Amino acid sequence: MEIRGVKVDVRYLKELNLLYEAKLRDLEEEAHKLSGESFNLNSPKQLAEVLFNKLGLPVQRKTPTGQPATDEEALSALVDQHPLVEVLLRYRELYKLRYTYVEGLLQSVHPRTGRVHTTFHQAVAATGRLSSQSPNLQNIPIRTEEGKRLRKAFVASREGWVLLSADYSQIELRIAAALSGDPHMIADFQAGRDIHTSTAQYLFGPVSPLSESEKRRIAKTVNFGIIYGITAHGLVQRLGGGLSRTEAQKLIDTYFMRYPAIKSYIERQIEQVRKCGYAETLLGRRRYIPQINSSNKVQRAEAERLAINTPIQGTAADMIKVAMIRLHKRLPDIPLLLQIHDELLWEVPESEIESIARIIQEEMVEALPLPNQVPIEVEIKVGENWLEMAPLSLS
Amino acid sequence: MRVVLIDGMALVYRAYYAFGNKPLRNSAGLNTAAPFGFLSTLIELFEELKPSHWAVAWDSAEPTFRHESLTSYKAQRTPPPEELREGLPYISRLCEALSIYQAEVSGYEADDLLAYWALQAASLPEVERIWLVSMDKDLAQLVSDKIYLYRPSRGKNPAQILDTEGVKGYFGVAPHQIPDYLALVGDNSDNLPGVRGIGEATAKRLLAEYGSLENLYKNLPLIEKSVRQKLELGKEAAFATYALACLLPSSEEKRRPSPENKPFSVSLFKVSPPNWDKLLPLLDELEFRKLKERLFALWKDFLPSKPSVTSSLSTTYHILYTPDELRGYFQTLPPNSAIAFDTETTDLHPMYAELVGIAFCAKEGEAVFCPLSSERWAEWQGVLQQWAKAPFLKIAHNLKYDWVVLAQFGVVCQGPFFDTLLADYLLDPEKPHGLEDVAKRELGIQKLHSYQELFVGLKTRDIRKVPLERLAPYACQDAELALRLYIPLHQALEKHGLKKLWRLGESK
Repeated sequence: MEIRGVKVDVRYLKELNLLYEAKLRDLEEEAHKLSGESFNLNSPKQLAEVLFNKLGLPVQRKTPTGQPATDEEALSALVDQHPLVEVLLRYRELYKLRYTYVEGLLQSVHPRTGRVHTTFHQAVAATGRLSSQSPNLQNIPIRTEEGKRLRKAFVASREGWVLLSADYSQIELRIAAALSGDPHMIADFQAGRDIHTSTAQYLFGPVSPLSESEKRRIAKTVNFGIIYGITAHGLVQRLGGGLSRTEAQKLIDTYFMRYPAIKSYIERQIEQVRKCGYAETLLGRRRYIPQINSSNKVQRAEAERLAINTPIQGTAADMIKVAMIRLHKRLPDIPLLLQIHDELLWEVPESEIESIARIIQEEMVEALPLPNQVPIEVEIKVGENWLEMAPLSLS
Repeated sequence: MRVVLIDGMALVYRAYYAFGNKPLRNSAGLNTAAPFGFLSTLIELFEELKPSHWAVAWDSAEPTFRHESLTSYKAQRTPPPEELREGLPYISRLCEALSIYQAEVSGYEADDLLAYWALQAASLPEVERIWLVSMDKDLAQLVSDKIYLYRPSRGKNPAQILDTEGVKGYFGVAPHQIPDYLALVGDNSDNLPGVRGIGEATAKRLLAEYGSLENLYKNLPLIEKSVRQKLELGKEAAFATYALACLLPSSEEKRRPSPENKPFSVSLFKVSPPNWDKLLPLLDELEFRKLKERLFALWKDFLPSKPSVTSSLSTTYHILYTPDELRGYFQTLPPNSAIAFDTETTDLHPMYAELVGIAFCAKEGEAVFCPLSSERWAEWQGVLQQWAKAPFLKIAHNLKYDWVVLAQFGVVCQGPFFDTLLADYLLDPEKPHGLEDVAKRELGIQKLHSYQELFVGLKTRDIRKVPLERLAPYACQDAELALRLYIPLHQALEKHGLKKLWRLGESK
């Protein structure tokens, strides 16, 4: 993977670069107009001067050096107070996108191969996942509009070849269901239901002021939160929108009423780690968590979260790694380009898409069968570049 | 003889609060701030004062004669926080392990013990100097030409040593007048009343003129009215305070039997080497690595016989200058044997790196190094390609890197492989996985040649310019360490049931 690298459309990136540059300039102009001052948007000091002294906005927090805070958190709290703040936030986002990602990618293109070669570190993450460096291709933004444009730069390198992406859908939740043996969750997965919608149905009664998509969004957050060992407080932070802590706690309690086995799994797991000092994945990968017995409450709580999350994330990592090896053996001529979290990206000849996709799906599903017959689903997408991919359905 | 006498709790408090809101903890969550600061100070004292004798005095838990005579004595004090108390047994074990005499006597405060010891020691001609280590001012009354007060450094302030002049300068009165001074001014930290209305300046003036509390009260009529009235009102308080502030209340008391109920013997305080069997496990539990090193430095002539400090390794190396020699070397090795290798390159990024050399090690203690140059590259490549295809078990630390580098140059290695970095990662993902760390941890071997050493005296950091006599042993050592790690790591993987994961999941 490393030696192959992945092709990026350099011309497109350069265009994007110029586009961003222009946008940034526009934003800067607007900021100057709104504030009535030509200041350097990148200097936190000058920014603080304008926001808090000139415009008189309330200071949210102070940095360790005593300056008023101008980071994203502080600024988002001030969004409604002045149009300048929104402009600033967008400026910051674009700036980061441009320098860290666009420029970064352009600079990582290898002079000889014309491709971007990232280094995957196999021995860094404590959970067993891979991490990616120079450039870090694992955190290319996908949610924002701008971020998505970046993905478009990744293309197939040969004529008649396309990109194929295979993603383990909700693998962590499935693993959680499998490890805990929760009958309701397992049934949902076996019946092919959308797990978040299903959860939403049980979290909120039939009488609820929220829209379906709202309910699903909240349920999704709770679902993922539980795997990470979330608390009511954490839930409030993640969901925002005026959710009180009691309401959050009630959500969590309702969740456990519907999925009681998950609760007992969590308790058993913590107990297990307390006894033997480490957490284990399905294949036996270990992570030592000595702080589980700490007298310090904060450390202990953190350790408990790790105890819950490590086997889940770690088993997902195990699964992908096994799949990668098996596919490497089975499809030696189809280059695997990237691994990002639960997704694998290949370059495949267009003429053979269907047969290759079938093989990929087969190997990924069978890589590491889960206990309790929880089905594993793999979503396949194909496209000319990493952004414009269409799902491929296999009969 | 140089005698250092330490007020235990004073140091403990100071150490405990030194870290503020972010106390030092070990991985069990124990607050180790107090033991850390205490040990640090002990080391500082040892280095600075070079004692021949030392001892620590502790306060007793029971009330003392002072509490009995004045119920409000130290009444405002709060009991020590729980985390601090948790650290106390460790501190006392540290003292024990360091062979420092400790004592705690029921009914007496540490100050009294220290006072007794100090005065007894001072009376011995062979004792040159005595230092009392404390933050407290109460002990200042003992300062004399032999007895000094040592206040340990605090943050940026350096340590202070107060002799008689120093006490006069700092407190404004002579040492023997300190109880009298406190009798007039009172003492907030011990909750002693003193005389109401008499402040520091007045007290200093009065004592400068009359010398002592007793003399002052004898001459009461001579004093101006306003002050005299205050003194009269506060007379009882003054003398009560005096009695309590005095560490040795009266001259007869100087011949008081020892609080410890045994005759004084300075030889009990003699400094002696630490009891390593007790000390090392304690330091490990507390996770005091740097302090451990400082202790080793202090006691370097008395190190434990089996040092937990690791032994070094030196390998015999041969430089192979021609591809033919390398070919010959490979031919001497059985076909399926294990060979560890290590590439030396110009860049950390394998895609940009240039090959400078490669080391091979197939037997412990012996390794070869091949400086690779572009002139004969085609020939080198031929030999290396043969090796790459051969069924040798290829071992390296962070094998993926070397694999990619070699592949860039047309040498595609085939398995079987063993990557010592990955193995270490599987055994415990969160420990450091550098070759040096793993070697120290698994083999107890300290790498002799470091990367920085390669460039000593050179004006460049270009590895191609490093002389062969330096590069070769460095690379050979890396290869040999990888070879030596193979068996223990392999066995550890087996033992922990990680073999399956290794085979299925990691070896690619």
